[in-house]
Amino acid sequence: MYRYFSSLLMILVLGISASAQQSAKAKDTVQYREKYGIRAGVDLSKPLRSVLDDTYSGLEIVGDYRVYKNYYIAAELGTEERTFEGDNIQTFSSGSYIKVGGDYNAYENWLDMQNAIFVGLRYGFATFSQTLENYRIYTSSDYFGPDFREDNVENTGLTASWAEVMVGIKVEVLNNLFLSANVQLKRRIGQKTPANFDNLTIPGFGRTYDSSEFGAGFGYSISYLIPFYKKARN
Amino acid sequence: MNNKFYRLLFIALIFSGVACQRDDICPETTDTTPLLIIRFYENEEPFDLQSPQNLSIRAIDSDSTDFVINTGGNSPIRYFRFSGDSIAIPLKTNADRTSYVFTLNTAANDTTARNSGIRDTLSFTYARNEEYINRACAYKVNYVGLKTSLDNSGGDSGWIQDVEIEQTDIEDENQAHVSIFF
Repeated sequence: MYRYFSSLLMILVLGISASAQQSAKAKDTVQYREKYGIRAGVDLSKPLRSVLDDTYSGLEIVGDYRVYKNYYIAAELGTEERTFEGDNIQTFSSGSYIKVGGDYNAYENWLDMQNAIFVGLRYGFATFSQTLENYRIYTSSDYFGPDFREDNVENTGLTASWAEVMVGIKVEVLNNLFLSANVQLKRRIGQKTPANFDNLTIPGFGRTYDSSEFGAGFGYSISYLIPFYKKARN
Repeated sequence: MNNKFYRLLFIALIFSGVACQRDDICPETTDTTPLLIIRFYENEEPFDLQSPQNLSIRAIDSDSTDFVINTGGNSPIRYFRFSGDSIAIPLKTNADRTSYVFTLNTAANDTTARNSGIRDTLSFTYARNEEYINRACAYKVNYVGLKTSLDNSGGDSGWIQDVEIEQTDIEDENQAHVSIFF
């Protein structure tokens, strides 16, 4: 009986002391210290797609740096090769691109977690070459049979630039190790096209559309945070 | 904030979904490689259109019964025993010269159009310029500097009196490029 009582007392005392501790913490405000630093990584979807899709090969490294509270400067650097196969035309583009801009984390973390739901803006610039591998002279009459051309004309020194909005999430799966997924909406600002031809795919931008300046993309990356310093959240 | 975020995500998803769209198929309304349009006129009254009767048209290097078929309109027209005052025929996109045999008054049982009627050979020479249209239709050919030469000296020939070029550059099918008087 006494034993039971003592243990009950014990629980009560512990409970009180715990609640006292909590109220004490609440008074001088809990200060979670957040990590600031550079986060660097690589896009996982592009090497995977390179394996699965024989019209594509690409690689992208990603990085961001936390400058202030929820604001990050961010950049991606990549290279892509892509074959476009249309009904009447086939092209191959190859080149590299850079995207620079910033992210805003709109997610309020619990405790000392460092996850993110973010919105990002980027300026993208690509320099590439495009080869017109084969094409057809389109005629409304097939009397003389189809006229296929195989030229392999390579146009070098092409450029394109675009603005990009992305939304995505970042989840800290292990200490300082993040998985991130995002979708991107791009709008072309300018491009240099070959004479009497067009850019059908642009590295970093993806395939283009004849009827609009828009493009879309996605990313799935793994990155590691190298903390430089910690700062209290307030 | 969260609401705004979800809206953005939604818009982005919509755009990535709409991605595959119309510009992968070449629409029929697109101006592709133009056909050569010829109109027939009466030789004595050069402003009056006149329809040649039972006209058959075949490329000089074609198979015997392989007559030109105009697929441009609603229903394809095969130029065998055709009677109309205008025709649209293709020019070769891979050579600078296309020659046609025009057989007038083809008999109904003459399936090769070689044993009846009057046969004149008309050759068209030109230079070709390729022009990019779009990713669905790829390229078209524009013909420039059109010239014609008429061979109507043979025994069973000589119905065409005169050929006039109305447009030396053929880039569309909006009006006649060549007039034939007979």
